[in-house]
Amino acid sequence: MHKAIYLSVKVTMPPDSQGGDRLRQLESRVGQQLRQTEHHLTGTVKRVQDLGDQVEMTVSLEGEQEAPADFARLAIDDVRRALEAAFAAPAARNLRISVAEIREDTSAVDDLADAGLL
Amino acid sequence: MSRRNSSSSPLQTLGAIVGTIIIIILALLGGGKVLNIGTGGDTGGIQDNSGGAAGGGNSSGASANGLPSQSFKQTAKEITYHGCPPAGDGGDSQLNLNKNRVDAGNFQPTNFNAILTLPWPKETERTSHDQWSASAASQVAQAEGLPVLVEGYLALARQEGPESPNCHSGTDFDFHIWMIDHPGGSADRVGGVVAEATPRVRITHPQWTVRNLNNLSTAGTKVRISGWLMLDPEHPDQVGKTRGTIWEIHPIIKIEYWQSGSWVNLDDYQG
Repeated sequence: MHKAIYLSVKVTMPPDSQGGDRLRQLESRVGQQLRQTEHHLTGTVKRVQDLGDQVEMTVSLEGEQEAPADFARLAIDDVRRALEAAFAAPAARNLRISVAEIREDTSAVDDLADAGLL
Repeated sequence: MSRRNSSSSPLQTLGAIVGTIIIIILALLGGGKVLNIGTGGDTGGIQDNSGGAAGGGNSSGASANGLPSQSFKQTAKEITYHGCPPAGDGGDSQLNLNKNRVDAGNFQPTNFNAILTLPWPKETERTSHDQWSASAASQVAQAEGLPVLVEGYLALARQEGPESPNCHSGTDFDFHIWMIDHPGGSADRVGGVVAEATPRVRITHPQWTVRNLNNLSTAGTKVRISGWLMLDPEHPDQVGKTRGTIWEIHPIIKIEYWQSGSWVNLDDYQG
């Protein structure tokens, strides 16, 4: 069965004093990691919001799985592993990012549509 | 206060406190305020939901809060759909069972405002049914699963995204349908009640399309929606922005619209 999900990914990182460069780096790096996850899910970053002390990314993922199997758990675990690996990489260490929360975002379609992003 | 009162016995003092509390409660109820008494969260313990719009329609067989009586409840029937079981693929399985019922009921005329102003325990927000306290579960159970028939108008209809009740299918999505109590549009959703058309029910109602529903919204056509009253604790962040309550009509079982002096089933919609 082809499945999909929207996740809210919150990370902590120092304030962006470089005119949004760090947010763009973050979006780019996460986007690269989500091209294919450990369980062959593919994802994209739909939105990045600076919340002050945290940055929230709305991420969509899709992939194949048996219908009754827990897709949210699979997707969240995959994204967490992908991000932790990405942020630990030498090229990302200057960003000083850590994952604060990953959860399913069942309001994402409404929020994105209302923001004109769908 | 006199010195005599200040020297009352502990029993008398306790009685005075209890009496004061009772008077405050009666005053609040008499003032028409609907209080959402919560136990946690970041918005405080008490939320005033009384600012909603006035409703239309009428009620029969109703209890004191304007909702149908408990005697109209029935055992839910669910189906497996495209390999997806009624409990979905994870998350809050009881919530998914509630969303995935497909049975018709003895739907009772219910005032729009009775749903809009119906309180909910704050502790239920973003929390699975199996984590609720007994008192919260009991409060929700008073209304959840009641068969309601509500008149109003449509502010907007929209296809939603993947979610656990539909096993995160990439093709089977719910429709969000925002009901309001007056003709209006998307901006009026803040005073709206969300009703949801699920793929398991829509499969037998091909005329329930987003386009047809939004045609009814644009034309300001009065509608009548029958379905099951349900608390959806997943969207408290939308209250006050794009909905008026987390109580929903979910799933919708029947949609009718007003045309030439009578109700017409949306299944017979001619566009």
